[in-house]
Amino acid sequence: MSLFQRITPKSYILPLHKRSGSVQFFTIIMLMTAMLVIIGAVQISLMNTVQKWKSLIEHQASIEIPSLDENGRAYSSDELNMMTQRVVALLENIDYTRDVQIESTEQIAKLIGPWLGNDNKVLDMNLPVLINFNIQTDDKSFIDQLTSRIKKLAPRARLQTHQKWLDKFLQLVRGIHGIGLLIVSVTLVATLFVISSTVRARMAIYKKELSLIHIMGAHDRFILRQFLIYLSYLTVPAAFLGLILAFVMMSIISALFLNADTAFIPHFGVNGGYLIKLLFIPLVICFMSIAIGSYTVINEMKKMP
Amino acid sequence: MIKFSHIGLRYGIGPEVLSDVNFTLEPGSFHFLSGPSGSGKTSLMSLLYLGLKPTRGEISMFGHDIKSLSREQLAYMRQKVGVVFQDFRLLNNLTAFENVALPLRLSNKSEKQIRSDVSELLEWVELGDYMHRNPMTLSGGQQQRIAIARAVISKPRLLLADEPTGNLDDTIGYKLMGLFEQLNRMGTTMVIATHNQQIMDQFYHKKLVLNDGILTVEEPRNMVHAQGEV
Repeated sequence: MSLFQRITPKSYILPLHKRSGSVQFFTIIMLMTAMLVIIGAVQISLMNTVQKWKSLIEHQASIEIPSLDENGRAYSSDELNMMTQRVVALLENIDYTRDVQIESTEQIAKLIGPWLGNDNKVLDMNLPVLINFNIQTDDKSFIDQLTSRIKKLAPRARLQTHQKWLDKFLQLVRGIHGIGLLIVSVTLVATLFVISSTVRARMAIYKKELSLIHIMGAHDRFILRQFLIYLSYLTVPAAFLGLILAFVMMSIISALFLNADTAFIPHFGVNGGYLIKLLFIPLVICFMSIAIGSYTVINEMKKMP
Repeated sequence: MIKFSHIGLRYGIGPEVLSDVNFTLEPGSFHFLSGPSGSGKTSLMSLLYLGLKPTRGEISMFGHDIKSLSREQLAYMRQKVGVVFQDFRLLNNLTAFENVALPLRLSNKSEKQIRSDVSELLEWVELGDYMHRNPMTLSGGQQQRIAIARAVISKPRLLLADEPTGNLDDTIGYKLMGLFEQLNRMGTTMVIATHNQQIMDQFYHKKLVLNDGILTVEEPRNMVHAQGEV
């Protein structure tokens, strides 16, 4: 007696697991689950990262007042200071802007350090002024108005709300999401066909045995049970092995390539939250297997008198 | 009682393989079914074990018109019919015991009852020592006895046997017929499809004779030909 028969209930009498095809079916389900889990993890990671980026960047704005005028002449520190104070005063008097802060010279030097070096010489240069603030609206006309008012106070000042590129980035993420969903849908449809054709193939291979037990008085539900036992004994371990395989692969990829501790890079961690979300994928595969298997068997059985 | 009224059967758009077949099987009766190859014997047997639906006519089995039965009820009806196939059709992944136990499992009998009934029957057909063997490891005669045991284990009201003596030598063939007689005496309605004229002459039972899909009924001994009532 084979291991399959040892672990299945006594009511499992058809040798559906025998003859070729079962190992291939097991492998396909395992790999498809692994693929779906990886796509799911990428989607979740991407969403988490986007959330982090949004929370860090959204509603944040900055104004840069360059240290040179339009003719390339350096503003005096008094001129720069005056323009800065006017802009700050303007921002402080508008309802939609809050937490106005002028970045210190040291902070600006630190920001441009990677390009110009971190020595004290940077501090001797004419550095631009950077004003950070919180903006409570993304209304375009308000931002245009604010820009023109700032330009009147500091003609070369540039307002950066980050909204434009955040929107573009979100559009890109939505595109990646869409592609991910498309791949998930195609994979699910392919899985559906694999399950359905496996059942049909088994029914064709075991036609003689099926018609024998049908003649002996087997009810449709008895025959259905044969297939459900066969499918669940293959699909459940295959789907959960697929989940484990996906976690192993993601852990390796994460350890090798994505181990930077930063909010800006998607992180593939196998933590509780992930696990619960991704556990749904093998469950969906198992449910699909049972549902499609039942539908196919019942449909095929109807062809018998 | 089983009654076939004006039964016709065709496969797809082909010609009728059974034409206007009429007969009645009284409870506890014994019939041979004979006819040349291609005369429709297998088709008639398939109709009897409800493996096919007739294209026309009515079949009444054990007081029920089979057309009015649901799939579930048809399955119950099939459980009342035992079939011994010429090629035995044993499941080779199961032991002799499990093969014989199959009809009892289909009718949801308890494991305790299955164990005692199957063991007793396998002892009766002298296969008690082989019950845990795979049918493939047994001889043709032993396989046939398993097939018979499987057909009778659930005490069917109708037993159909397709060429049961076809692969056997005369001695075993007669012994097997003796077994069928014994089952018939216990109340089982029997239909035995056979080509073996010697057997039919030896055992005095009515004959259902098929020729090109047309059924005639022959009485034993004086061979009165009649169409219709048996």
